[in-house]
Formats: sequence, structure tokens, C-alpha cells
Amino acid sequence: MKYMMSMTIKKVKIPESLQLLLRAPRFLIGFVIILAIALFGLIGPIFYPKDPLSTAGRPLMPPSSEYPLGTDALGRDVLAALMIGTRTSLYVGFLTAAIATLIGVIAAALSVAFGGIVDDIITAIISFLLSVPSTLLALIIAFYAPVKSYEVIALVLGGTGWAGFARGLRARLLSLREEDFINMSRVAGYSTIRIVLEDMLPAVAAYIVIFFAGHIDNGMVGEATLSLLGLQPSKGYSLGIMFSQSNTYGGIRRGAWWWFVPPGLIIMLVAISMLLISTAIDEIFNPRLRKA
Amino acid sequence: MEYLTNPDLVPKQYKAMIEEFGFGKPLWEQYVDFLVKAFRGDLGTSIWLYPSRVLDVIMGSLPWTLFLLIPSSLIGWYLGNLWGARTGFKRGSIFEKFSVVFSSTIAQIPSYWLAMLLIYGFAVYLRLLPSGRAYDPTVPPSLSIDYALNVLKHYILPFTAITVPYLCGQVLTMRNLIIYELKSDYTVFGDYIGLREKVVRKYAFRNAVMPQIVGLSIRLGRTVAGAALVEALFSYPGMGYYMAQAVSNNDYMLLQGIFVILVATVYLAIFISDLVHMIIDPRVRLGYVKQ
Repeated sequence: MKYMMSMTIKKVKIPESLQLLLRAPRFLIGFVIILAIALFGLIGPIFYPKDPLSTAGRPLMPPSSEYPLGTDALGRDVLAALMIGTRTSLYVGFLTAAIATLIGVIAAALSVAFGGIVDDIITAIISFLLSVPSTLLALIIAFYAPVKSYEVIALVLGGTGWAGFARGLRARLLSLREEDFINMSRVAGYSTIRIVLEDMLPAVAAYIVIFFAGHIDNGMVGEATLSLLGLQPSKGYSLGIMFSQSNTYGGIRRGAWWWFVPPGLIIMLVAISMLLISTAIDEIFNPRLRKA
Repeated sequence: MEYLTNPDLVPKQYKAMIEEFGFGKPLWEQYVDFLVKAFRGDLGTSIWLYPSRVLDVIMGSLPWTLFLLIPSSLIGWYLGNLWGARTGFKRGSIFEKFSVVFSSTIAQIPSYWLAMLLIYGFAVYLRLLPSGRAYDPTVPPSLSIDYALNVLKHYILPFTAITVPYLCGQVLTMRNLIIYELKSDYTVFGDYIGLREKVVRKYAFRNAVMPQIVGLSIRLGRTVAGAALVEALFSYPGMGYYMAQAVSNNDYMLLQGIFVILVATVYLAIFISDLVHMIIDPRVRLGYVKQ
């Protein structure tokens, strides 16, 4: 009987919130923006098949019909470069967010599931990471990293950016531990791991998704920060490299706005779309914000 | 300088340098050396600015960074919270909607991109303000009005690039805090017993501003790192500029030193924020006394 009831509740609940989400204009706008940017980076090069590395054009040409976004100081096509850069930066952003979310969830779950000394160690690591500015820490680690690739950059950014999230998640899980339905699972003889995985994590799923979404643009911004400081991988092309090259080759001081404005717009659009998506999710899953 | 004319001396010079920086020793020994020296206030010699001492470089750049960051944080904090509180109190109005959309858009702008846009707009296109440095080399530092005006002219753009995104972020957090406070029991109760709106708002503001004050002192410690790129883009001679230069010149010594000093500032800021929290919040203060 109880089993049946929980089944029906589950069945009604999930589609309802999903329906609400699909009807929320903020979510839709955010989703369309991020989809457009992803398509721009992924299949853009198919429709605009120009070599971003070819230095055929004259340097620093303003936008024209031949070069829709002009050329950079080396005569390369900015639009083609922007597509490749968007793809790399999105990749780094997603990877960073995935790594940070994964570490955060595992750390919080371990610390709540085992408590005691495990909890102490994890809380100490979190406190340390929170006290040092994460950009600074990422900068130092990336500076000393022997291999530099976009995966390493994502690992560094993800590995330094999870502490605040893990602390919030741990607090949420701890308050969940006192709830009745968790106690019922415990009485039913579920193992700790099973309670964490089956009962607790779904209850905080919205919080996890919100962090993931919000951290994608952090990854992109962080990658650009490191590139601007000269800590970019030797291979590949990203939005951060566009920034740093337009700075070092004098693109800004020579007024080549078509070179450094588009990458910033892309990063900002991703940030805004993620903000829209996460507020929409928050508004639906957070009862305090939900409108009656 | 003899080695410039006599190439045979180059290996000798090289050896002498390796010896001086201790790069020949095993890593752990270098680390212990660094720690021992650091505790005596000696952060080593810079490689890029050889033979300047790291501490001298930091001491020369720290005032510029503080000059940039302290006014920026204070003004951004004050205006942001004022605006944010007003936004929170007027929930549902057009003013609130505009403020939220505006500040959440602006808060997403990375400050280095804003710096680039400002350089392009005001220094390159309009030619109103200088595009970099803290003062013109033609106006040497002195206690004259000329120099002060020159510094101010160079100050406006980096100041804007750092302050504006912070200000807009403050608007959003303060709005959320006020909305939260306006829903809590004591404000609802205040409404029921017929307190004037102004009084209720004052109570809500006082409670909401508490975490913001603590956040301010932490921000003061943190932005040093965050403003690094803005300083680098403007060639503003603060810590951030030297940090960026240290990275691109592989100056391990300088980077190490700056890192130590920055982390120390952050810890100092956290310590101060704890003290401030105790002073402004009687609950925290009395809680300590009881135990």
C-alpha cells in the first residue's frame, strides 16, 4: 500500500515540475540561447567552411561581405576563429562544471554518509579552498602544471571551484538527514549508501543542476582569465586566446572592436542563459520562491 | 657584464645564477629554504626584475592596488546595497524589474572584458582618457595638483571596470536578502501590530546588511586576485600587473612572493570580518560570552 502510494506520488510529481519548467519563459529563452551558441560552435564551421588559421586576408580589416567579422592582426578570419573558439570554450566550460559538480557531490555525500573523521577531513579541505581565492589557486596550479591542455585547464578550474557548492550541499544533506522519509528508509534497513543515492540526492537534484549550470560560464571565464595571463595550452584555439591575442597584438589600441567584442558577447550570453535556466529551475523547485 | 663580449664566460655566469637562486638543490630543500627565509621577511630575488628583491617589488605595487581596490569596494558596496535594498522593498514594480534585469546582465560581464570595452570606447575611440599606466611619465610623482589630476585621469577607467560588476552583484544579493527578511516572522509581526512601513524596513535592512558587511571585508581580501587582469590590461602598476608579468616571464620567485602576500591579505580580511561580525551582531558577541 505504502509502496503504491509513493509510486503514484512519484509519477505525478516529476512530469508536473518538468511541465512547469517547459512552460517557464525564462527557461525557454535561456535554453534557446545556449542551444544557439552550441550550434554556432558545433555546426557553424560546416556552413562557414573557412580555415581559421589561414592568414590570407589583409590584417585588421573591418567587417565586410567577404569577412563578416573582419580579420585579426594576422589576417585571419575572425568569424571562423570565433566558431572554433566557442566550441573549445564551451567544451572547457562543460568539463569544468562537470568536474566541479562531481567532486562536490562526492565530497558532500561522503562527508554526510560517513561523518566522523571523513567529515572532518572534507570540511577542512573545503575551508581551506574557500579561504584562498579560487582564481589565484587555479593560476598557481596552472602555472606549475607540467602539461597544459584544455582538459588540464578544466581539471584545475573544476578542482579549485567546488568548495562553496560542496559546503552548501553538505548543509542541505545534513538537514535532510532529520527528515521523516529518511528515517523511514533507515528503519526499513536501507544501507547508508543507498539512502544517500536514492533518497537524498534526488531531493537536492535541483540544487546540483543549478550549480552545474551556473558553473559552465565560470569555467569559460576562468579559461579566458588563464589565457589572458598567458597560461594557455600550446595547441588549440579558444575565446580566451582571442582575448589575449587581441590584447597583445594591439587589437584594442588599434580599435579592432570586431576582434575582442564577439568573444565577450558569447561568454556573456552563455552566462545570462545559464542564469535564466537556473533561476527558472530554482523558482519551480524552491517552494519559497514558487508563486501560488 | 664581461660575458657579453666573452662567450666563454656564459656557462660560468649561468652556473653562478643557478647557485644564487638555489635551483640546483632538490625541490624540498628549495622549499625549506624559501620557508625559512619567508619567515624572516625575505621573499627572495625576482628573476624578471633581477636584482630587485621580491619584497621591494611588492611593497612598491601594493599601495597602487590598495588605492584602486579600497575605494572601489567601498563605493561599489555602498551604492549596490542602497540600490539593492530599494529594489527589494519595491518588489513587483517596474523599477524592480528593470533593476534586476539590468544588474543581472551587467554582473555577468567579466571585468576584463569590460576593461577592454572601456579602453576601446574612452581611450581609443573618444580619446577622452588615457588607456593605461597610473600616471604619465611626463608628470613625475610630486605633491602637485597636476600630478593628482593626472593620477585621477588614469584612475577612472580601471576603477569603473572593477566597481561596476561588483556593484551590480551587490544589488542582486541585497535584493534577495531583503525579500527574505520581509518574509520572516518579525517583519510580518511588525506589520500586524501596525508599525510604520519605514520602521519595518529599517529592521529588515539592519538584518539584511549583516552578511553584506562580512562579505565586504572578505571581498577586500579577494579582489586583489580578481582585479589582476584589469590591472594587467591597463598596465596599472599594482600587484595584479606584476603577477601577470611574473606569469609571462616565468618569474617563479615573484609569483611565489605575491601569492604568499595575497593569501596573507585574504586571511587578514577573514580575521577582520570575524571581528567586525562580532561588533555589529550582538547575537554573535553574546554567544561567545556565554560559552
